[in-house]
Amino acid sequence: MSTAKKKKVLVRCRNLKKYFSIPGGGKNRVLKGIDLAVKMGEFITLMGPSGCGKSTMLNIIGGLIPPSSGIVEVNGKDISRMQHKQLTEVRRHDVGWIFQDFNLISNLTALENVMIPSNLLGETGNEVRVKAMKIINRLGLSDRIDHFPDGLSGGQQQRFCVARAIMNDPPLIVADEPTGNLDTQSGLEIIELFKNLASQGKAVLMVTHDVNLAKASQRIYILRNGKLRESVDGEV
Amino acid sequence: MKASSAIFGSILLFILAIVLFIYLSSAFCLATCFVSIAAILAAVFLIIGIVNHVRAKALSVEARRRKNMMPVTGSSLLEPFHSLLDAIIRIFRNPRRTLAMLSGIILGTLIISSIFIYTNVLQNEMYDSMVRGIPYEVTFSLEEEGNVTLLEEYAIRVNNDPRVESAVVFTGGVPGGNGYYTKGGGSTLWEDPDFRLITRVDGDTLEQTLEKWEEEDGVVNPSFVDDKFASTTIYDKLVGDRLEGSFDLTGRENRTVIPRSMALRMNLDVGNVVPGINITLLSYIDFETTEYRFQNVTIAGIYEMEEASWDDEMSAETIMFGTGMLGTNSTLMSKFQEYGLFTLAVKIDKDEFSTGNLETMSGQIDRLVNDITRDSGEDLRGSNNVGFILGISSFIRYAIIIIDVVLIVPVVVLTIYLLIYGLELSLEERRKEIGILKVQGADGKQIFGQVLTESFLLLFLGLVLGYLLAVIGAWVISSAVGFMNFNFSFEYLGDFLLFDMTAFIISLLAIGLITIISIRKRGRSFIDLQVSEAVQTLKWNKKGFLRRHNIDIILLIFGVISAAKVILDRAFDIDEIAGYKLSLGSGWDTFLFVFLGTIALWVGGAFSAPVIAKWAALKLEKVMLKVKTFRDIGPIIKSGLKRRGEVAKLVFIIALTLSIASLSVIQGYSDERFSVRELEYQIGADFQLTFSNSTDHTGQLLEVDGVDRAMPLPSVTVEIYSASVTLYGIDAENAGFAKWHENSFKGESAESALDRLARDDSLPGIYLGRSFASDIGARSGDKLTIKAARLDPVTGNITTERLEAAVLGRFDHVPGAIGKEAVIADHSLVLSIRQLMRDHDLSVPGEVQVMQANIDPGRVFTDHSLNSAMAGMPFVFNITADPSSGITSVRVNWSHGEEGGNISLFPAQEGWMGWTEPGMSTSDLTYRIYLTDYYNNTNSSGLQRVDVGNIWAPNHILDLSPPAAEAGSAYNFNVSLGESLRYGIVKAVWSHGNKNGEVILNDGSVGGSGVSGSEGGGGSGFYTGSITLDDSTLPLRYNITIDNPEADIGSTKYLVGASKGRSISKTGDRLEVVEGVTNVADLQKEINDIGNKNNWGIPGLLTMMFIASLIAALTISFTFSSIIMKKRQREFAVLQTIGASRGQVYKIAISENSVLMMISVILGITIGIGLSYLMNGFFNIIGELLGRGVLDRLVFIPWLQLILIGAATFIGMLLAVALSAISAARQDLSVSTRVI
Repeated sequence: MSTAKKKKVLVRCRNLKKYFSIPGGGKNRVLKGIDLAVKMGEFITLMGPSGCGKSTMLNIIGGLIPPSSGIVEVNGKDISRMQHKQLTEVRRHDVGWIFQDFNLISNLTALENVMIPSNLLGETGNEVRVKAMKIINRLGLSDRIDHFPDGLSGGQQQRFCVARAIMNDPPLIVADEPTGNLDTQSGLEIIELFKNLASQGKAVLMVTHDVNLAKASQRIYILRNGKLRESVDGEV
Repeated sequence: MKASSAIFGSILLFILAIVLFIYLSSAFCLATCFVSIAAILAAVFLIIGIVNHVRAKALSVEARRRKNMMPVTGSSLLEPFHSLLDAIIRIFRNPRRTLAMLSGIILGTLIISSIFIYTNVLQNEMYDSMVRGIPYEVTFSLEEEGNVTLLEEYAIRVNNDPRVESAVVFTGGVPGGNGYYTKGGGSTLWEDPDFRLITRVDGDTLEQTLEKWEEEDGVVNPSFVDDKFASTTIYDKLVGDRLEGSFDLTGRENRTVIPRSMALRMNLDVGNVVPGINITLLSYIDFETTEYRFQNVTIAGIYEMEEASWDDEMSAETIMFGTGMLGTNSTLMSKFQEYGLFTLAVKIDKDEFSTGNLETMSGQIDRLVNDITRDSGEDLRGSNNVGFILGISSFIRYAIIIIDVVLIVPVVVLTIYLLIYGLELSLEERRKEIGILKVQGADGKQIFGQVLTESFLLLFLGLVLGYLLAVIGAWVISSAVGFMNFNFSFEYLGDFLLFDMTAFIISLLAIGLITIISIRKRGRSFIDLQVSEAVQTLKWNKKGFLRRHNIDIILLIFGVISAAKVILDRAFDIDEIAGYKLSLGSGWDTFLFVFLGTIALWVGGAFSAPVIAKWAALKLEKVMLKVKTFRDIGPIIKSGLKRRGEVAKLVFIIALTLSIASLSVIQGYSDERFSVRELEYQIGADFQLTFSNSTDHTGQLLEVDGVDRAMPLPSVTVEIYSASVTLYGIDAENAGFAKWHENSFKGESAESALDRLARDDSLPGIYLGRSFASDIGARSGDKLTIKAARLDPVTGNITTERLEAAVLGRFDHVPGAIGKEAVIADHSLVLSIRQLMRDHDLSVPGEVQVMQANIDPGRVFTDHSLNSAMAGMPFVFNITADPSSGITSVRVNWSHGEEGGNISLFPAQEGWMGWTEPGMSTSDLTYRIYLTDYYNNTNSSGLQRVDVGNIWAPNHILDLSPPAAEAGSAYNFNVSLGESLRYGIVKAVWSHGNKNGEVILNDGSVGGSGVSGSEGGGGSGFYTGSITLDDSTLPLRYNITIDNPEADIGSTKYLVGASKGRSISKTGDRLEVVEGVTNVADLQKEINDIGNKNNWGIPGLLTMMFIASLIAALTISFTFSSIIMKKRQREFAVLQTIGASRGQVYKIAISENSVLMMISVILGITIGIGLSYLMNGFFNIIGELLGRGVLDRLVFIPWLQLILIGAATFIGMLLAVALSAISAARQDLSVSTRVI
């Protein structure tokens, strides 16, 4: 615990609120004042019933949408009032995204997909390739680098997706139901990967419906009626 | 089953709606119909809005969120209506996909309908403009001899026919006719003449009149009209408000209304009194001439004759008199009655006829003619004057149909693509909805039923709106007076508002079929796929048949070879390479290179464009990616390009579109240049002047303010080998100011050719017209002998003078309407030839017996027949006798060459007359006259000898002076000159008793001052002059001489260059009044006039192709970009999520497409240029068929316009991509990255 206390808080949400306007009038209050702190090296799971706002919260923390009010800090930066350009910088350097359906670009090979985040920073050439290959080797996918996404299994695609997410070495990994399209074995492999990433000091924030997988994380948060609470003793 | 009945119901409703629309549009004005439809639609939408509002209130919030996802509902017989209502609601709620599909249908209908509407209206306009020129559509004459009263009675009866607007009886000539008449046939335009009616004014001899008949110029057609004429619509058409003075021809007073041209020629004004007007009726049946003279005729009015649009030359000048002047018992009236020269002219009431359809209208007119003929008990015989226009109109229509078919096929292909992409985008837009419907349990058939119902509704809407736009579009196109040059006239808008059933039905069938087939093919497969599969599987890059077998590349190579061959030949005049002829013979060349080559280039070019563009883009992008700006997105583009099938499709469309646009621009520009070049060729310089005589007018012209240069264009007729040819003289040193063209000479610039002509070489140089060179097989460097025929007027011998000349080259055309059949040389050569032809004493001696003023009573008869005759022309025997001699008959026995005969002369006014027509032999005509008196005594003349000449012989002087003269009276010298002698001053040098002198003979045709009438075949060649004899009865001796002035390079035709900085129009005005000028052609004015002339559709069609292809290019670019971006929306969202900035998204979208687009634009323009050359021959033929052009149509490439079009299309496409990219970059990333 003492080690954890010393660790830097990577994500901090204070009184985070998110409303959506309803056509025909009124507001749908999805997040009603969330407070959350995620430290480096933590692997946290977010759970809750469908439509409770888990993905919305993840999208806010991952820099995809702005909150309606409250503060969101990622890696010490308040992203709640950031302009589009600044948010892009956050997504480039501070966040690695992992999706349920992988979202690899079908026109590019697996290796090219992994290299994209670095390319987008203007880094090209052999160095990027070497860096990507290192990550891919670590994930045991070196024999699949020239395959297009269509030719890869779901597990392989998701692992490449993880590789892409960590290509720029971001401190925070956000994963929106990363195992939703995978079989149990592949799902477990991905969770192992996340644990490894957390052990390497990265913060992993994952949304899932799978209680068993959630239990692999260090902490589980439950989102219900717009409020967040930490699960005690594995209660979900 | 439910889905099937909904589909069936939709089809049924669609058919009902279409039938209703056609009925309403045909029955009522199109505008009313559209207003009604708009009102119905507005009402439907209002009801739907209310229903929707009520329904929305009743739905829960959750239900409202799903309002786009309503499953197919309803049952029983009302199901189609439920489906329709639901479809209308969906159409309203999804404006983007509605617009995508609607735009394809509207544009398709617009393009196809406007083509047909335009073509049909153009035909009707052409027909109408031709028919409008006819003052009356029908003419009747009496079948048997009769008097005018009978015809006037019929006129009243005919006027009562509701189909007739007005009917007028003309006595004698018929205004608008041509001076030919056939007995009982009225004025029939094409029949051989039985009679000639001609009005002679004082001063003209019968011979001069005969000349005029042959020249078809100056024939004045006399027509007698009654008091009612001026109140008819026929009068409005013939005279109308184009009258100066009054049309008061009532009563017996001698008054007349004459045409302006005649007034100008004779220097007459309203109110002038002409001493006498003679009307001569010459019958070609019995050669009888009837002459009547009106004394002291007052010019009551002068009118402008309206141009007869079908053929200006067919309409003779008409001088009008009142029937009161004729009386009932005059000689002329009795002759009119004898020959039945009364004509009932009828103008139809157009409202009673189908003016929209020429064939139908002509049939209806035939019916009118036959009805009236039947009602008259066949007393009348009628003719339909509109009929012949049918031929002209049909011919033009077929030409336009050919143009339509050839030019429109690619535009229709574009239309198909528009529709398909519109549909594709519409499907792409509903991807999510289809997924949800499937999740809810709807099967493919049900979803397809929804799509089909919506499609039918949109198809109907699109067809109606597209047709409305087509009406406006066709009117805009019809206003094109040149390529992209409009002269809008609201006057004609009404013509387009008539519902064109053909246009609508063809659009309905074409667009309907394409839509239904596309929906069936693409829609079904799209719907049948699982949604997630649809993302992955629906590929555009499936290889077509042509691509799979590389046929596209083979076709392209063949097309390029064909284009290269034509371009080398046409643009660079290269027809062989390294000794190998590039031609396979003209037939094969046309079929293989022009016909098949065009198709190959178009099809091969468009289909292989994606392959070429992709290959070129890969090469170019490698370079581009080295640029720092693109490094960050390089790998994405580079890898993406390999699999960029969708963009390749766009390359195909753009290449096809730009090829059509470029073809239109190039041919449109070439068309304009063609018209200007044609005028430059015809006029030759800033002005072309025609003089009445051929002396040297250069000095006279150079004195005119604003004239910088003047050059005569003299000519002589010569022979080279056995071919007769006109040789024109060019003042080569000073001819630079004329409008020379780069292809005036073959393979040589005009400057160089003129330099060579002007060079003082040992042998004079000539350039041969292309056709003439080919006829005689001459080539550059050949030495030719020019032969000029000269007739020795003293001995009568024809000698051939020879002169050597060197062929310098060939020409295509020379300013001043010198075509490829002629030869040109420097002025000096023409001078030499003229001198060769004249350097003898060109004089014809003559001797005339002079009788006493009172004819010797001892003489029984006098032969007034001429002592010269013309081969092929009637020779008149004219004998007078002493009345006391009791002569009762006169006979002539004649012989000429191999022919001969006996004719009895008939009594004429002052003696006996008769005709014979000597054949073409130039042997003397000999005859004896035999007279018989009351007592059967006979007397005969000695053998008379008549010199028979050939007026068409190049170098011939024919003395037509009378053989006898009367002491104390005037004597006329009459001479006819062969073509090549019509120059210089013609004089009669005479001596009679103690007196002698010389008189200059005037050109009879133009009333000139002793000089020839025209150069090389123009004018009459007839010269006359008069002297008054004293009382001596000694013979009159004379010589007809033609002056041979030194250095006379005179001509009747002059090219004039205007001084720079001076007003062209003012200079033109000043040239008009130069003495002796009969015509001034002003180049600038004629060029400006092009803008006011209808060019028979080619500029309009090219403009339409151009506009249609550009609209198609931009619409397809936007639609296609939207489809691509829609498909890649998620990819861009993912890229942004993993760190791409919006700028990088724009950069990816634009750079991925820009290189391909740029290449496709270049390819399209290149194909268009090739096509322009290949299809130029086709345009040339069409132009010739439509009566345009002597010159070859050259292809002019308007580089600036092409660059602008290319740049505009490129920018348009980039804009389309950029807008779609902006939309993609600003999407909600949290939504786009999630799974449905």
